[in-house]
Amino acid sequence: MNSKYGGYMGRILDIDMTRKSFCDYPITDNDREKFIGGKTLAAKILFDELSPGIDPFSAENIIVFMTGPFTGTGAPCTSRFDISTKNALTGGIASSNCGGTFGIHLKKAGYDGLVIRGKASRPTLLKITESGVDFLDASSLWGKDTEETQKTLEKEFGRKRGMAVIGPAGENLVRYASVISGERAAGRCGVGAVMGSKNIKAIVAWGGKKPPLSNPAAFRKAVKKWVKILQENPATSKTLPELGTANLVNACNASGTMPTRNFQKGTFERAHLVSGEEMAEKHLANNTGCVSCPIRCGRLVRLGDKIIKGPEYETLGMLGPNIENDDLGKIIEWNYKLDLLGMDTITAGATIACAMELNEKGIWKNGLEFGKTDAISALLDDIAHRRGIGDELADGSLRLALKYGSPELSMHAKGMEFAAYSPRRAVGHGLGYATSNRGGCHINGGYLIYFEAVGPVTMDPLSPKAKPEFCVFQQNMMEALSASGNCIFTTYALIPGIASQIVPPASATADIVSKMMLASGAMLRPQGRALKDWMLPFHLPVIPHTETLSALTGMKIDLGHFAVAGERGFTLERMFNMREGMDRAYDALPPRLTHEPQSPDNPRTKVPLDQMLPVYYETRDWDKQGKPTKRLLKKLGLEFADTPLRHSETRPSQQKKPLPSSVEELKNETANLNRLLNKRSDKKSKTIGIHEGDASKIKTDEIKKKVAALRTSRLFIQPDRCRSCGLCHAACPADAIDWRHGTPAIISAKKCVSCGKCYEACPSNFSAVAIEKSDKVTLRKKRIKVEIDAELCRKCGKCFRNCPTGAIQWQKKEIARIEQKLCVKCGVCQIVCPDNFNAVRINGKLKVVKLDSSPPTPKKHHAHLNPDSSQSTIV
Amino acid sequence: MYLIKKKICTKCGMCVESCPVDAIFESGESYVIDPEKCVECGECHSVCPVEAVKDI
Repeated sequence: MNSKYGGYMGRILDIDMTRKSFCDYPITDNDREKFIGGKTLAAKILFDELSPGIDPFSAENIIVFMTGPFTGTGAPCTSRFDISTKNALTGGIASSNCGGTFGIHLKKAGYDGLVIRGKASRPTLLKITESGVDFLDASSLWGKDTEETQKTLEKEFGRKRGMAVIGPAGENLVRYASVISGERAAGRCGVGAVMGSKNIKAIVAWGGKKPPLSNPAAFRKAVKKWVKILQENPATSKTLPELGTANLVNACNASGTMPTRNFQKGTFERAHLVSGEEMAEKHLANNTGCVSCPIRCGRLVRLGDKIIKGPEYETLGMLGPNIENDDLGKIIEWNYKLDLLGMDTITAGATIACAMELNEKGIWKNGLEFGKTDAISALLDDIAHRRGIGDELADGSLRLALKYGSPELSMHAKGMEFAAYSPRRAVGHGLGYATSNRGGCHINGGYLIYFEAVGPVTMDPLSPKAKPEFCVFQQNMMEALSASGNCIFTTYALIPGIASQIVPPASATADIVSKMMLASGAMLRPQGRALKDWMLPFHLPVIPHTETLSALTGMKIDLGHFAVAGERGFTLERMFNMREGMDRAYDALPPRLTHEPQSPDNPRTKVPLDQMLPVYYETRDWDKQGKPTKRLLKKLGLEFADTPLRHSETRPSQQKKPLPSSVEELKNETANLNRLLNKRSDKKSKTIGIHEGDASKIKTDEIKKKVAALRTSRLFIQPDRCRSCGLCHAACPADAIDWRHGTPAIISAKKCVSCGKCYEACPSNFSAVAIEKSDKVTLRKKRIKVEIDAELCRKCGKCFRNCPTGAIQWQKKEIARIEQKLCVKCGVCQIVCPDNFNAVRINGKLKVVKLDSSPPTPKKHHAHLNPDSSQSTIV
Repeated sequence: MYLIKKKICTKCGMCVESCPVDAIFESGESYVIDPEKCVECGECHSVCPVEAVKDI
């Protein structure tokens, strides 16, 4: 467990919230060499530990807190730790990074990370010290906002303790709840909700240890060099400390990449009113920064007589132009509130904008309008507490938009909302959004906007050329950097300050530089295939990370190793997602971005994703389906991740359920029998019955198991596996499944008769219907007896054709009869028996039939297959 | 006795975070050690990444 490498404390704790126990999580130096730390090492752990298909809020999910070797060593900008888990918004991987001091203090306690599993039975506070983990009661903290929580912890445990806490949003499982550490946030992917789902209110850590240094003299020298680079570069020594990330407001707006009106436009005429310059002039008290950082891009602003943390660029963009708000004071208030509630500002802004557009288009009247800001503060509280329309917004913009039949109005990729950059005027950045592993992320996506719009040297933002290649390179570098425990803002110094002087914007030189950059794409094309970690055995002065990391750890980490380590991390997260069923269909963007030009008079202002994606796959050495090739996996040592997705083995509920594991087999069997017995199958039937043959002839073990299961179990749909195809809804004879044009389906326990038809109907590659034993169902069914009244039966055979277990015996011109041993008391026979015949008795009673009842209406057609079905949705 | 060299200090805050007696505070362009509170433990000197803390 202990490591021969510097930077690492050598221990990762494995904490079981259910059992209130802890032990060491085994990590070897080989793991450290390959995965370094942070999100990449966390991805490895999650890949090993999690079964695919689980609910992010279930006890089976694992949440990993992971530092990098740099964390806590004093190297520049290294107060960084990662939180990785299953993504509450996308169902794929989640990784969220934070600059709070929790990571530093976790290492002081002697640990590189925490692997937390299970679920506590009541609100818990984890205390992590050199002697281990204490599980303390947090009932008195539950319900408190993050500021009050941290103040209380400070009073209890002392100052300068590392803290990671959730607010009411995390407690109420808002899908974009954040984790707060000090004044910084791990904002995205709903990591706060996952923490809340485990009943963890807060984690506090402290200790007296120090990360060991492999070569202290070389390390200190490298650190000093690095600090000097940051102090001499104008981006990191002037722009960021003076204006913060808010410096991007005017820059993005000027380049048409400012998301406006839910990404309908790329420029907002009043953007300057919410800019960094405006903030510096009217609200700024001081700048601040994370521990160990010489850049100090943080804002401290005045709010009344308080001095609080000021908003970052993303917050300004998403709660400013994106909702057409020009009031910076309000954004400052909302930012503070969102931190108190523990909620992501990006997804909150995006979801509100989506709700505003739904209102504007008359799809959902909710009172929210672009440019109207009075209701927002209260709305944020309502979202965090899931009250009123806040509850509808609490699951993010995609679920909201789907609910109202308009998923195209959610500005997301893979289910997570974009950051505040409009990619129709920075198409490479759009490619980044589409391919980022955690969803619509600008960082994991590679931050190409820097080289397309806002950085000192840029390429033609509308050209798809070279973007895929740059995107791959950037994504890999960001990945490795994050894994090492470093802040990505050190990359602002990548382009030497002199560049902005010798390349004036919109000049002939700029044009030449752009052409050169576009042409250099070809050089970067073979990255995936050709770049091996033993290549590029040197350090670049503008990337001080590698030299410093080598001196710190004693690992040989030159540029080649670093780039390939990043590639490994990105690819592993990709494999995790693919195992969850996220294939190339999920490398997508909303049609607004790919099909509608942002500027109506310039058809190039949209994201040509279909042109860039194949080149991206090729550059990454993924096949045409977007799957990493075997060759790549071998190069990266990720062969273990190449597990075929075998659904029958991957559904945890399957172990308990005795239903046949192969639906296809059973279908084939009955079809064969059908032919043998010369039965006519009703092709027009919309209900999908599994058995269409003579029950008395078929008493296979599978049927018996199925009968036993359906008599004693309830069925439910796992929302994270449901792909909203609607087939279960169409198959349900009891109309017990709530589904609308695209919404994840829900089975009403009240109406469900446990006939199993939804289970059969759900396509095997989704396998969203699950089954579990239910005393309620068992007792209810025991009391039921279903019989066909021989005097009323008109021998039509409908009950025979629809019985889920083939319990009904029938032949043409003969009265139908129920074989009680196979009857699962679902009553489907009574439902389908024509009203004017009405021959089935349940506990002696016939179906209640209205006088003017007409024959049962055919089930709704599959609305999702008809793109014009917008009128058929809201019921 | 410890002293922070203003010209070298980057205000990164490592010393502040590690000081067990909260003796380090912000003053203008750098951090300053309060000699009254300082217990001369040497933590700030040891954690400073740019060796801005002088032992005098």
